[in-house]
Formats: sequence, C-alpha cells, structure tokens
Amino acid sequence: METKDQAYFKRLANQLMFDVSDQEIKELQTEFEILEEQIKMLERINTDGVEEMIYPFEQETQFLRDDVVDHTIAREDALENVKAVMAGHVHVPKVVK
Amino acid sequence: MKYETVIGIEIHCELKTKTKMFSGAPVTFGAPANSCVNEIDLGHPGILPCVNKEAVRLAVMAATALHCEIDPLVKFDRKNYYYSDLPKGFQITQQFHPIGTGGYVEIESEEGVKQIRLNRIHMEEDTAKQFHNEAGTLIDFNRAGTPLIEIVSEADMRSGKEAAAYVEKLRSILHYLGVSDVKMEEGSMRCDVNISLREVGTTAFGVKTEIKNLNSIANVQKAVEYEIQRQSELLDQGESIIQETRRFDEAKKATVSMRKKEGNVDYKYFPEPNILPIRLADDWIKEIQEHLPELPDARIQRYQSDYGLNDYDAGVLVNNRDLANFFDCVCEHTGEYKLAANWTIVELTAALNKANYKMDQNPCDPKHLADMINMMKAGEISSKQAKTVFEEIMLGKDPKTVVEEKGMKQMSDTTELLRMINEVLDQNPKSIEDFKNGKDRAIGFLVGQVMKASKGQANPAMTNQLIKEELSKR
Repeated sequence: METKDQAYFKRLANQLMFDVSDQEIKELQTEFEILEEQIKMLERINTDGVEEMIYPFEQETQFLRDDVVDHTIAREDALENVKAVMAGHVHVPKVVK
Repeated sequence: MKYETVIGIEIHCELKTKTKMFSGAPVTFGAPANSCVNEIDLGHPGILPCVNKEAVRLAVMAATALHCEIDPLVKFDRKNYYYSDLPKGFQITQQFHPIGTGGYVEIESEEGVKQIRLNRIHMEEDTAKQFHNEAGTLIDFNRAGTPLIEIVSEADMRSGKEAAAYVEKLRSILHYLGVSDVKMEEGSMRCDVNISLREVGTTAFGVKTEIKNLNSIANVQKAVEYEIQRQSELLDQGESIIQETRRFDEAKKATVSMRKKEGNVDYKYFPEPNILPIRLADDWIKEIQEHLPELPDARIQRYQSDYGLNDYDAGVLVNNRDLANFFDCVCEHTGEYKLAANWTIVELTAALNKANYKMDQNPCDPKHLADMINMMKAGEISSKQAKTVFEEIMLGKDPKTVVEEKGMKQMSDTTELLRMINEVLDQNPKSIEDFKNGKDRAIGFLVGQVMKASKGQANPAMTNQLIKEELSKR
C-alpha cells in the first residue's frame, strides 16, 4: 500500500485542484489512519460465497419515463448558491481538461 | 518507410428528445444559459434519475439501423471523474451493458464498398457546456443530462477519406432515422478520431493520438491527413509518437497538442445503483424495428429502380434528406422523374442559395413545380419560359396563373403556327434557297424568326417540324 506521507496528500490535492495547508494534511493523515483501520476490519469479514448486491431489490423493472417536460428550476434559484455568476453562467477558474 | 494508417472513431450524438436522459427538464438548443435545468441535472442531494423512454426508443432505432445486436436488458453504470462540466461527479453511462453491440456501416472506398465494423452503441448523458476565456470558465448546465448515444467503431478505417466517408454515412443514417439533428457545427454530433500508424505488414497497433471535437466532416479528413503526415515524419526521423489528445486548429490547418495521456484514466466504473435493470418488452422492440423510416441506401435504390435516376442524381438528392423529401413530393404529382430531379437539384438549389434560404424555408410548393414540369412536357410552355415561371413559383405562385397572367402559353395551334411559318418563309426566300442547297442551319434561322414573330410563344419543337414540312413543299 502507498505511504500516506505529506507528498501523497499534496499530489492528491493538486489533482483535485485543492489547496491544502500542512496542518490540514496532518489532520487528513490522522483521518486516513482511522479509515485504513476500519477497512482492515472490513477485510477480515469472510465474504466467501456472498454475491455482491448492487440494487436494493434484485429484480428487473419495465418502467420508463414518458418524454414529457415536468419542471425546471428558476434560473435565479439554480444560481443562488453559486459563488460567481457571469452572464447567467457559473464562473469558475479556468482548468482545461 | 511505408506505413499503414489505423483509424477508429467515437461519435457522440445528441438524441432528439423533449427532455433530458434522466430528468423531465427540457432539452432546448440556444436557450438562455442555466434556464433548462432541474435538481437532477444539477446533481442535488437525494435526486433519483428516471430513464427517458423516448431516448431508449431512439437508441434502439439507431442500433437497429446500424445492424447491432440489441440488449433488451437496459443497465447503466457510473463513470467517475472530477471536472466542472459534471455536476454529480460521475456520468451515467452504459459501460458494461451497451444497448447495441457489433453492427456495421457500409462506406464507398477506393476499393469499392467497405464495411466498417462497430464495437458498440451505448446511451449516456451529456455534460455541461463550458466556455473558456481569459476571465476563466463559464458553465451552462442546460446541456447537462441531454440524452446521447456514443457510437464506437472498430479501428477499420485506413485514410482520411474513409474516416470522412464513415462520419458522413453515419450522419446521414442518423438524420434519416430522425434520432438526432446531427449538426456538427452546433455540437449535436461530435466526433473524436483515434489514429495511429504501423509499418505495412505488421499487425500490432502503433501509439495512437486522439483528435477531439472535430466540428465538420471536411475537418475530419483534413485533421486525419495532417496527423498521418505528422506521425509519418516523426517515425521516419526515428522519433516515437507520444500518446496524447490533440485538437484541429482550423486556422493553422494542423492538429495541436491539448494534453498528454499518461496511461489509461481509471474512471472506477461501477453499476448505477439508482437505476434498476429495465427489461424492454420484446413486442416494443419489434414494433420499433418494424417501423424504421426508409434509410439512405434504400432510398438511393428506390430512386434508381422506381424513378430511373442515375447514381449521381440519386446520390445528390439522398445526401440532403429535406431535398429528397421535396423531390418525393414533386414525384407524387408528375411522372417526369428525371426532369423533377433536374429541377430540384439544379434550379431549386440555386434559387435557395441565391435567396440564402435553407430547405426548411423553401417557399416552393412541390405540386406547383410538378405542374410546371407537366406543362413543359405537354408543350404548353418552353423550357426557357419555364425558368421565368419557376421564378414566380419561388414566390409562392401557381404556375398556371403565372402562365395566364404573363400570356406565356406556348402556341401549339397548328393552323396559327402554319400561318406564321408561311409568312416567315415568304419573307426569307434566301433561307429557302440555302436549305435546298444543303445548309441545314437555315432551319435554325427560320425557327428563330417564327419565335420572334410569336413573341417567344411558338412551340419550338413543333415549329421546327412544321418548317421542315413546309420547306419540302416549296
């Protein structure tokens, strides 16, 4: 397993376009240690012969929605929590994929 | 060194539905930004996607027309990636159970008809549209959730021409089906081309580059041809090809690097737990398949066998579905199919271009054009007069009214024509003498004189015939 050192978190943060401080990395490391412990606990559960469950009900359906407009939300509501709006668009820093 | 080009193409095509793939928000091109969205499109907490029946119907139509095997059990998966065009942080797609597998498209290549195999067709949702500028990125979520089909070909194409022919053929099939607007310039059909070179005679694939978002069929060919040249030169110089995504710069007529691809991105696909597997009823699939509209190849065949059109005319008409539909309407009112094709292809197209009209703004009533063609054939108007009549038809007028109003009706009354002909002959003894001395051109002159005397209303073919008869009597 990869070492969860400072460089690891810096790289992850960079990939996710977050800026993290050294203090935040320390907190993340502590959280990850706990998470890893929990995962190890889960790994100890014997799942031999247990099939994965994806859906709450293991059954097929035939339902398809008719192509009829039901509702939209008002533009001002859609943009209400947006930090920056420009010409009706959500405005974010440029990151070309 | 001699290289073989290997090309595979992925095409994203927006389906022509009223609402989104998983929400009841409207799909409207050109609406004000962020005005056609709801909670599902924006990925708000607690939302549940609900599959659009019409999108599935259109996908089944496309898969059937492209000879794919249909999977009647519709399942979706999540493709996870983090980017600002994707509000949920994942795209709902069909990674593991595409609605169509296999299939093919037939294209005309230099070696004749060539089958380009398809790998799959799957349904998915579109992302938001982003506009990058100096100030940053502007996002319009109207496009987020629009139903798409992605059509993935096998790497069966070997040149820019074949790649362009494939995209053109696919575009035509999807347009005839009516499943999409297939407007590359508006982004309702988007094309990514994967291209690599390998030494002739080898089978292993070379390192590929991907050219993204080509916005016209002409650019598909240009981009591929540029890329073949670029990769060949690099390989000849002993350099290796870098696996990367490139785009076609129209101004430079060159592909330019967008980003390097370091290995395959892990999208951590897993089955979409919020959409239960949907079993499509066999009857419903059968009904869709039995009611497919006529496809381009079948229509070309019909134009050749039923209307006697040549390859070229049939091809030009079918290449433009609206033009072909218009031609069909004209043929409902006339049996002069070749004339109908000529007038549609040449005169109508030129008139529309001149007026800067598209086919959906065409003011010409197909019955009026058919009536005019019938009048020409019956000798009621000459082909020269028909051009004048056609100008009026393009203004919405009935050809019969135009002919009457302009007093254009062609003179086919033999008695009246004979009177005029004999007058002209009496006035031109030199031409009679010339004719008798073997100068056939004299007839042309005499016909011209009769046309002049009749103010262009004499039936030229009839006049020609009668002059010959009268000359033989003198």
